Amino acid sequence: MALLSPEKGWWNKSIAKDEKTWIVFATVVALSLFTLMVGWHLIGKQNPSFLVYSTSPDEFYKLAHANWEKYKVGEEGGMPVVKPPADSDVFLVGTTWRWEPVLVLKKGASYRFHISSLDLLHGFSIQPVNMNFKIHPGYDYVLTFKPTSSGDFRVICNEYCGPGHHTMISKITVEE
Amino acid sequence: MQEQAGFVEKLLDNPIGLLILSNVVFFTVYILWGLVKIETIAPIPTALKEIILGGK
Amino acid sequence: MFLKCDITGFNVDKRALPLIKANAVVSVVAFLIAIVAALLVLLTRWQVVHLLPVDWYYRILTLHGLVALVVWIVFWEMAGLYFGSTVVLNARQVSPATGWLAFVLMVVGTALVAFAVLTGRADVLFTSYPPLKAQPVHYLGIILFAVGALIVCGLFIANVMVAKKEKTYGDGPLPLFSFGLLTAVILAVGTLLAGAAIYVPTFLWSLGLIDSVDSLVYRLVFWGFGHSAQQVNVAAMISIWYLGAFLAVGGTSINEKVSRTAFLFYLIGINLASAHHLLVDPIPSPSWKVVNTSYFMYLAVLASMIHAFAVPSAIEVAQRRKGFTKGLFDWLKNCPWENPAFVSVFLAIVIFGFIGGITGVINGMEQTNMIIHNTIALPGHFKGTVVGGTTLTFMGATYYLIPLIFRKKISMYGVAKAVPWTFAIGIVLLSAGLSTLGYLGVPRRHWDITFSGGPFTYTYPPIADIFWVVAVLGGTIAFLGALAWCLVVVVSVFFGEPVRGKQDMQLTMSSPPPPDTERHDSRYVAPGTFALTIVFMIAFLIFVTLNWGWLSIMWEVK
Repeated sequence: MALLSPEKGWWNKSIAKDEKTWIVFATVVALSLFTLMVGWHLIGKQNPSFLVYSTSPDEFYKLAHANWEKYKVGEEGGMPVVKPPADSDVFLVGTTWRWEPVLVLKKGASYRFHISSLDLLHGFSIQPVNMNFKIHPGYDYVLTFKPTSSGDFRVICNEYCGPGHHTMISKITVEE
Repeated sequence: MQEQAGFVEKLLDNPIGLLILSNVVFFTVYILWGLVKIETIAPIPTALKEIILGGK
Repeated sequence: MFLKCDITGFNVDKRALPLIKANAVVSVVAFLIAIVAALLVLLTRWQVVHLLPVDWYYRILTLHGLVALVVWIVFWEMAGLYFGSTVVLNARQVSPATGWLAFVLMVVGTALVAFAVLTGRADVLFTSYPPLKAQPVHYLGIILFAVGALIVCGLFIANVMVAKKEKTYGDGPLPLFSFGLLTAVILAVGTLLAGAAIYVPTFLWSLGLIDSVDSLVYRLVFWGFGHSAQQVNVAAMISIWYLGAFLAVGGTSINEKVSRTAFLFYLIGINLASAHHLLVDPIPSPSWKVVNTSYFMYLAVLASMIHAFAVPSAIEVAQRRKGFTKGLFDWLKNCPWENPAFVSVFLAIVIFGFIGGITGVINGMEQTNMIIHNTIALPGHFKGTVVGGTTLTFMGATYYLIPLIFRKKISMYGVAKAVPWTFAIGIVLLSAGLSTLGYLGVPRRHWDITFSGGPFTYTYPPIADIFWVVAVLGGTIAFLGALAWCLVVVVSVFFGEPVRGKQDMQLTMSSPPPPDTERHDSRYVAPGTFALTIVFMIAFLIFVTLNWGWLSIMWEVK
């Protein structure tokens, strides 16, 4: 009982059939889940990237602006609209309280997103596909995205970054 | 009876042993390994930077 | 120094009692503040009311996180640790003066933090991720609090070692309840060391003595503290479940080797799971992520599933031996449903397992985390763990502390009996509402999901409005249940009728059922529990499949 030492011989007491069956079943499930996580890296199409570079806000800002200059096609909401070619590097910058730039992408094409913050932590959250990543200052998180649906999407911030947090929203348009 | 107690049985009755075991695993596997991974992140390769900054 | 309890027969160290009482009283005060803050937060999130202005929303949210998740729970656990290392072991309290020092540190720490938060000196939320900076007083308060808690952990271990040496609980190993608490304490030591490792540099940074704190390192070490603290709660809660099974029906773990080995698995693997907070962070190592987030190949999840069988089967086997042998569930029907402490434990097991456990494991898988990270489904998840599980368990256990430690009868017993049901129903609705909203992409910790003032707008699908109503309805019901509990506890402790002996106990104090002489290995001893755990597993696997299905239709990313 929970308030007394176990009875003599407790260590050698046999395990009841149902408890044993349950433990075996639970072990199998546990190992399957572990295998699923590892295996998804081989067969799955959605895995968090493990390509990361260290950087500094200054360096990243410079790279991002050079990148946007090259592929800029207009302006919207006070920020550049950037239309990068397929298979290229795309820079995204989070600052209080903006996600820049606005992107125009092509469905089915791959893009290497370099995402970093110039100040605080930000949450990179694409809606409504609801994919979420944590963006740090000083680290360039390289995520290779391939949009599989078209239309207008939003990038919102879902990591608290001060009182203007809720105004941090940008747009990704995916063309057919 | 006491002499026959196995390793795990004895470990379970040893608060300090459990304290050490738990914290060694935690600080090695989670904290230390994680710190090493973070501290060894490489800077953006110069070649990539040149491509981004250079014209095309 | 000792007095003999006329209800339980334990030799109680008189010096431990005021420590238990003081910590318990502070925890209830904290609980009251936490639930008021919770209601304000919820009514702000619901855009229909949108109660607080933006700065106060984040301030009250910071307060809610700290007071609910830390102050209420940790003070209650401190009371539980004194109880579990002295009263139930017939043991003496080692150095009560040190205990009082710890208490003062924790109270002062709490006051400093509350001051910092409410005066706008710490608008950094519970997590205070740098480069977001609070004023030094905030970190100082947290450090004082943590030092106090660490001292109590040391006292617990000292009490247990002295009790063992003086053989106050007999010759054998530590009783299971205290052993479970020992597990919690050991996890807490690692937790608090990680806390020190991160709050001390952050404090120095806030003072201007060091230049910067790396945000990624901060998140790594912070969650070694922040989430491990929740694992402490899990271990403490499960210990109380075993105790509850005994007090309510005289149930004993049907195999102590299995139960204790499960606690050992916790000690090895459970704190590693702090890594699930960093699954979508720029950490360049899938191996580190997978090994850690899986609690070392799901060792600690296996442990939880073992407890999920062991606790109900303890109840079932005791009930069957008392003669409730008909069918699969006669034992369950004849449980002491008029005992609100038992009801609390029972509902906590169901909520923790079916809501907290299932969502926890799935959210913590490396890939499915991408479609959940920092959405409001996370608060939905921990409403199922730390609120519906731990808090409800502690609320129920408090009903035993009132007569046994405060020596008062429970006032308004009818209200006390309604509390666990009300609170549980509210929390289930709240959790279901928030979780669903999270799957729709609603962010957590966000003042305005209409994004007013932003360069673009976004509108969540109309179905979200319905789940907001579900969440607000549930939150309000849970708030009323929690408020009623505070009222019952305060009135009982300060104005209740004194308990003069066993005849004044309103709650069951079961004695063990007739001994069991049969061999176990060849038969099913708890078929009802077995059936319930299979139902649980099916629900779990359905949710796993759904989540991976959703994941697989998202954009491709690598």
